[in-house]
Amino acid sequence: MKRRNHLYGLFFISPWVMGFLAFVAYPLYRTIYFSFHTVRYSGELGYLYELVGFENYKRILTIEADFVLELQNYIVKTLLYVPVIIALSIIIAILLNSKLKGTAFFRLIFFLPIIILNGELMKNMRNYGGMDLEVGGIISSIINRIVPESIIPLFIELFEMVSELLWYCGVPILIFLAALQKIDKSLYEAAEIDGASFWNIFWKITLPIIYPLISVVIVYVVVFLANFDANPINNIIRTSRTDPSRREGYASALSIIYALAQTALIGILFFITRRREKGGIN
Amino acid sequence: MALLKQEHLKLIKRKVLGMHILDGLLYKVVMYLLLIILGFVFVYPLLYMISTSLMSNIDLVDNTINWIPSTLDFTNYRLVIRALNLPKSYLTSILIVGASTLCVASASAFIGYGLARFTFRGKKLVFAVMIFTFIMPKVLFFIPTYQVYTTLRIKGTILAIILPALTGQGLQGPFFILIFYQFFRMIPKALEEAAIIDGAGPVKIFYKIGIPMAIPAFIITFVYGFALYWNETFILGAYLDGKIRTITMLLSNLQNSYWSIIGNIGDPSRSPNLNFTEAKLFAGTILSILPLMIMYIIVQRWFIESIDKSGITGE
Repeated sequence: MKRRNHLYGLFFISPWVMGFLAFVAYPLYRTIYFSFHTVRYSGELGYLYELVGFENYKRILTIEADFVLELQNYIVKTLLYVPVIIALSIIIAILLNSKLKGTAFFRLIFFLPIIILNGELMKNMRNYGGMDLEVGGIISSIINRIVPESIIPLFIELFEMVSELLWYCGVPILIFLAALQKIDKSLYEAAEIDGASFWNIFWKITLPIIYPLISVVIVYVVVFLANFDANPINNIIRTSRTDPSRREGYASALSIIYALAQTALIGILFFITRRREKGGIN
Repeated sequence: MALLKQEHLKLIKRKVLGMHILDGLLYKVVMYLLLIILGFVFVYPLLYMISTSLMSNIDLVDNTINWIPSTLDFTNYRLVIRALNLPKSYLTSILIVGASTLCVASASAFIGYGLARFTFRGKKLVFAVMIFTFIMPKVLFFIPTYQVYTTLRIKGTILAIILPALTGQGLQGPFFILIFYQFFRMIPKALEEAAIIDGAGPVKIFYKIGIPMAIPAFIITFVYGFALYWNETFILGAYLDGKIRTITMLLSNLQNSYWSIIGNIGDPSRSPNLNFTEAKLFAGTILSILPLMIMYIIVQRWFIESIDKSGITGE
């Protein structure tokens, strides 16, 4: 029985094993192989590979600047975005989890990016003023009544950033909200009877419960931002592949450096949040 | 009198701040305010896009017109519909994306069932590898795969998208497998044993007992998978090699296709309304996400219900 169980298990995952070999293992091996070669293509002979050692990597990291610049940009952006996205998502998840009327409507709105977000949409909204508040417009004049004029540019910039980042919050909100909905309501009631304030409840009950999910969200957000079509790095790699002076070898080296940088980024962020989790709850 | 006033004050205080913090008026006002502000900041770009897409080019450069177009002008939409080759390209997109999603769903169900219901050596390794493939950027595997597709002459056909989907290696493949894994794990052991006693084999149990139990997983996969494939331009664009174009790919090339059709319609230098502006781009963007929006509005109830059942956040 056990032996058969074993065989059936393998039978069911056999498609995955084949897919892994064909679309992960083999391509990974080839990518690494390419990255140490200069690849050329000739109509008669097909692909030609010339071993060049670390030449591609040297060119990328020390001679040509475009990729390194974008990579730095990506890392800085991710490090900036991730905490803001997490904070915004937690706030919105808590708001949506409250017993207020109309949360169903807001949930519908905030989940929208899970379905419609793509690189083109983001680029078009961002690049053609969709996220700018025009100075002198209705909204900035309302803001103007509340705050002194000198701070307005700050507000406009903040608006722009939050406006973009909220679009990346769809799945994180979903993850946090699902966790919040699982919290036993009597826990809150007991805390209220004991006279705990909203603030206290947040720090002592809500946050510790959703804390473990922060690492999950970090992985999700970093991977998402890396794979997002609006990310210029993907574009560099794609155009490099057909660029006669670069071709597959150079592009492969690019993607390997990119993968390593992304893994390191996830590792660091994951490690930071994991460590605090232990201290936070106990 | 003084006592009455005090009672009165207490009552007001109770109404404003509430018996508990969580039902006071002040709390509610603050919560609503936050929701509305965040909601507004979030929706703002969409509204801006919709309002701009209805403006003629003359409105666009008019400084006095900010939000409301002087006349509702559907020229942008009319022209962009031709440039994007609608509604034919909707049909192409739905076919390509729908077929891919179906493959993702069936493969993920099959693989997820294997992981959830059977014990075998190397299972932990499978999970580890799945996490690895999830984390790695998609560009890492793309160059050699493209080459293999070229040699096998699969490039530019729907097979190039379907093959990875059928083997659980499609877009965000590990995620979908894990969703099904969660659902199949919830099947009670007794139910399975009863079926075995009745003489049902594992494959029969899979589709007689397993699949009906995993309906919410199918809903999540259909909706989210469909959206993912619809929105993807990098992988789909490369493997389909411009031979088949979904609407999102056409959108990324809108400006060029616009200029190629505008010659037959009129001269942009004489009628400035025909010039390519962001209003045209916005109209195209809205048209490209319109089917997804409609789908979302129709299925959102089941979608959110399914997510609630999935325990996505467990483990």
